[in-house]
Amino acid sequence: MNVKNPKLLKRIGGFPGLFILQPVITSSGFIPVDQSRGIFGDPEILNGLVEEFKREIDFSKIDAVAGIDLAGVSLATAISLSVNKPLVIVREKPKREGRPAVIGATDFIKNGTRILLVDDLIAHGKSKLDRIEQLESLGCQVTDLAVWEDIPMKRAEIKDELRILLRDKGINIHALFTFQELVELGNKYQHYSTDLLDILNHFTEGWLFDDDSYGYLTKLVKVYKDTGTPIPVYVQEYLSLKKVAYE
Amino acid sequence: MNIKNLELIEKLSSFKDVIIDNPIVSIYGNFAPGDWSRGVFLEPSILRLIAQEFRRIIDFAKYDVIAGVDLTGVPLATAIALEVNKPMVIVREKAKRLGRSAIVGDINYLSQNKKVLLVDDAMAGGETKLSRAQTITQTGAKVTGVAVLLDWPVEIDRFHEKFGSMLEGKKKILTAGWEYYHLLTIQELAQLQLEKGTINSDLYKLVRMWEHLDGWEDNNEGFLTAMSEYFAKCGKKLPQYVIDHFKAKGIDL
Repeated sequence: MNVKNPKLLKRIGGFPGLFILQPVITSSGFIPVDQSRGIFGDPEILNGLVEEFKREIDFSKIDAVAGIDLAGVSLATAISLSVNKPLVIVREKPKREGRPAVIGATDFIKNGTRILLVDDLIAHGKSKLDRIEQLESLGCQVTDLAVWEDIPMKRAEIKDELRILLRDKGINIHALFTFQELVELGNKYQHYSTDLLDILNHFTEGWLFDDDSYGYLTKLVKVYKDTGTPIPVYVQEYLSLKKVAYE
Repeated sequence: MNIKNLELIEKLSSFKDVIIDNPIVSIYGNFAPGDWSRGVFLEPSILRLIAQEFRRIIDFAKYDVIAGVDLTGVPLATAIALEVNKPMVIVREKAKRLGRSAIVGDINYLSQNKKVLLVDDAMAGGETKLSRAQTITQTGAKVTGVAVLLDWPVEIDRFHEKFGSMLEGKKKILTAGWEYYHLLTIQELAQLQLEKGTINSDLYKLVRMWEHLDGWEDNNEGFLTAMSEYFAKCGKKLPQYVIDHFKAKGIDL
């Protein structure tokens, strides 16, 4: 763990919705819990995170900060303000014709501009690589990547390959927490139930939630019942599809 | 103009490429011969001064939460939230995925009767602001103020049927009893840039034609000719999507 400030750790650990029982259905499968991105909306936490990055990163070698649309933008803005380096925002594509995909590129990006890329987290690394290539095509050099959380997904077979690509490009990855560290921190202050903790501990192994042969979907239903949380319709549909009883 | 800080005025006057000859077709389907670059408020010394000006003109005791409009409202909202030490949420058009909320951070900061200041980079028709405010209202919180860097007044003399509803959003916002704060208008910004010599009078003239939305529907007011002449004079080619936009209307540029 790269965060030392005990006050900040306590605040993050006790943050409501650090993990929320809110499954998300993504292109790569079913994710049983989500995290509230609200953490970046707390100015004290945001300032605290920026201070941690300032300890980790040598900003004298950075010319501009690039925030990834959308989750990286508030963190990138706070870093930019604190270290006095201009900000650009990297979208996947321009919103409409005539507009740039990288907002602020004409003002702050030149050939050889050294970029710190900022996002909320890194999982597979696919979107990071895409954005890096986008920035490189404008002539800049992404030297560092700052994320608050590293989620090493054990599911994705391609994951290691992409991480190796990032390393081969010479990009320094600065992550303040791993997923596991956040689970431990959250549990320390919020005392998760055994079932929820079990789900969180196996979160990165997405295949466990593909069907109920490992019993994880049944466990999920139990967490809903124990916490008295109604199961949302889209989750009910997913459970039906996987033939898991939830009534 | 609602800016008092001379350093900020100086920076806004001299920042290059704020007003750009980059035509766009807006979300309302209208055409504008130019655009403004958001880079100006991504420069940290400018962003900080902008946040300080908002702090000067807004009584933040009246607000519990700052809400940034996805995407370009987010840097401004973040800077304001840090400046006044209030929590911030981000309002998207819709949720990115099933299971996610359209508002980032809603469960942490929005609840019954929380008073929200909605922040965006600019306001023309106000439709976006209005629809984001409705999203916020669904959480029980209420939008009681809107703050933008640039106010973008628009005028319509013809084609009322097409553009009339465009002005409704802003009207509703102004009559809903919300506070509306802006630092300057696009015309004031263009004027500052002209006086400083950052843009030339040709581009300034073109800027002043933007506000007439209806003037770009045909060449009756000579706007299309003026634009073509401007591009020819600068030795620039009109982008293909501009040519296509007017071709679809039966106008050959």
